[in-house]
Amino acid sequence: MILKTEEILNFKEYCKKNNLNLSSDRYSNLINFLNKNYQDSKLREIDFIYHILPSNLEEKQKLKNLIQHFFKISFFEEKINIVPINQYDEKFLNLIDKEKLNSTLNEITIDLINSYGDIDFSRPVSNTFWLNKIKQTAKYKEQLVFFDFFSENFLDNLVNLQNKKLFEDRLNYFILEKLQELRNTTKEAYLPVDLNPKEDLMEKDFLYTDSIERDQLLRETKKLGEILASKFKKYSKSNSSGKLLFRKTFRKSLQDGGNFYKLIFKPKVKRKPKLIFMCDISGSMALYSLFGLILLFGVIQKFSSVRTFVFIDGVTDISKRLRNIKINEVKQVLSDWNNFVKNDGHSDYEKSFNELLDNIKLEGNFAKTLLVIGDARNNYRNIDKDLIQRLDSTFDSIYWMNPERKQYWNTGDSQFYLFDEISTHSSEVRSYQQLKQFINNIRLNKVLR
Amino acid sequence: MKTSKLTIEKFKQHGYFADQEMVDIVNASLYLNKPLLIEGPAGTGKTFLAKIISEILESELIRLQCHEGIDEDNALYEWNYKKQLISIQRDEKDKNLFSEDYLIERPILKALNSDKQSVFLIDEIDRSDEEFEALLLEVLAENQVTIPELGTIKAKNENIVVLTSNGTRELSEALRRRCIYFYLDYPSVEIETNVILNNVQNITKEDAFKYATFSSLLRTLNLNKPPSLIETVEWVKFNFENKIKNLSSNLGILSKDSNDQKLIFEKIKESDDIKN
Repeated sequence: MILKTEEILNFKEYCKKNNLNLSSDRYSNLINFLNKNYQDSKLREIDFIYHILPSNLEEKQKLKNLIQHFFKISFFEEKINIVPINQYDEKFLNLIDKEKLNSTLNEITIDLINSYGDIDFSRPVSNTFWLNKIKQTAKYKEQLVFFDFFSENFLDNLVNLQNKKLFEDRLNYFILEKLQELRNTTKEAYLPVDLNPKEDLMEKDFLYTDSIERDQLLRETKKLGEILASKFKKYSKSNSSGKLLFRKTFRKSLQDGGNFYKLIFKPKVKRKPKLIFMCDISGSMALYSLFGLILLFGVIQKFSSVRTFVFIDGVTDISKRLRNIKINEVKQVLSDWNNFVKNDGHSDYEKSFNELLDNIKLEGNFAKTLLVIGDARNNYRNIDKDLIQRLDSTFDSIYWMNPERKQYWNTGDSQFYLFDEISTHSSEVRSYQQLKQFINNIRLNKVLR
Repeated sequence: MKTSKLTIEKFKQHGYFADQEMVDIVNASLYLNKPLLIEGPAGTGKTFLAKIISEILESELIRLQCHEGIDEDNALYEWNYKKQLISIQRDEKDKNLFSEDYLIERPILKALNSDKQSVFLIDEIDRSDEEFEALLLEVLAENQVTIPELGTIKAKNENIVVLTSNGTRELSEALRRRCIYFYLDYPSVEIETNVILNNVQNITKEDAFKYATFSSLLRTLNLNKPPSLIETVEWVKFNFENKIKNLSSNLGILSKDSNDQKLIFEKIKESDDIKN
């Protein structure tokens, strides 16, 4: 074993410090394996740390960052192939060769930065700013020219486009790395906060994510929703034991000469989650509502007893619309403001909740659980105490996700304290982690009726 | 486990294109004699990997397909109580009603009792209920099964256990702790090129590469269900062998969702617009 056991134990401590607790028998497995199986290089051994330690995808992604920081290497080369089509000169041949690709890109990067001229790192701007400046130069565009070949064939064009994108991403990554390197070596350089080790995406505020990160988070949220839905399914099953159906059992027994080989029971009655879900979709809340809706989408589609309302200044029932669509179309449903604005387009909690109560009063067996996403900012309109009392008496439990930062609750026109009093659980939900914590607080067996 | 190490070449001989990570993890799990838990989206070859491992090691593959409501009787063992009843009626009193004569073997017990080393595949474990996982723990950790009436049955050989999961529900920590974890994602362009080359006759490497890039491009689109490896290969096979040049035809093979088809169609159109 080239790696020392001490080193692995140090790494274990490092992981603990960074909130990644892995059970110690995984480490002993790893050491056991590395001791008996000789590897050629240290890098290969580090590979095995990455392979053997994690027990789910989340841990794997976390571990990747930690290994890179701890061992100070970037051995996870993303697998990309760049093969330009129809043009072959010296440069491209270098690009086809995977091993030469990185050195070629490095050369291009150094060339680009040098030709750009002096970069003033003391200016209070981040690396991305300089990257954008470099992107505008003619020399940068020159690098991408060889992908601008268009043939009659659709496929060639698409492949070209894809390769161009990959190449550009790769090049940008290289430039950013190089810039960071230069910045670190320069004295009096401006070191903004965002250059520190990257914030964990799972803890990042939804509002500050870019489109790629947002898509990834939406996908993760969708998975979380599926897990939530399957949890509901589990609870709904474990409810009642069926009674013995004697008549059928008797009839069946005739086949076997009157022996009761097979007992037949009444089908089990399944409980359904009865839940009303309210989303504030006014401008500031729309993004968070989207995440909330994606989270509950699995439950909404599986159980017709879950009702979904959106509100701005009046409620609209969208449960039926949600039932017939795929998850990608949720965004479009939310953007359909024409049908949702009832009055002036400023959120009105009193009117909305009153409408909701009147709506569900008409139905006999309504849900006793309410789940709300909203910041309770009522645009300086009054919220009647009667409404709060009615809500309290109508619902057994109210869960409230407030996407606002906790320090801003009850400031300005926010009247959250009114709802906070009557809610079973309320918390700040701005990121994936918080979303996950929130659903763990929902008492599932109470939702089912 | 005293099996020889697997290599990429060995996988390749059996028609499976693996990368170094996969081979490393499989080797580690074989060496440590721990179950291998494979997770990943549908259609990336999780079940196939288990089949290939059994082929390479020349051992029998015993498969247990999990579904909702699967329990002891379906997975482990069952008492043949019809036979027991008949025995009682015949007055065979000195016979022990709970002996191996009256035991019906189900896949897990069959895997433990088999004379040769076997690969035991538990497919789509996430479809089963949580209680079922607890049932598996003894098999996974100790390689044995305890039947209350009969005692403990130990495995005759050290079996290789492979579990697959689509991730529709979170598996319990107790189960994960006992396994080596492997996330099998959609294949890289390199591997997909090889698979297409292997499956489609007379295709050149360049064309295969183009199709592989195209499908990796499709997976970056925001689709409801990204095309799986098998779907792409079938689509390429059909299009290439019938010499269909138009990409947007036969999308039904590639995607089974009308909205996804629309998105793919738009993407293909987009490249046409740039040309003009």
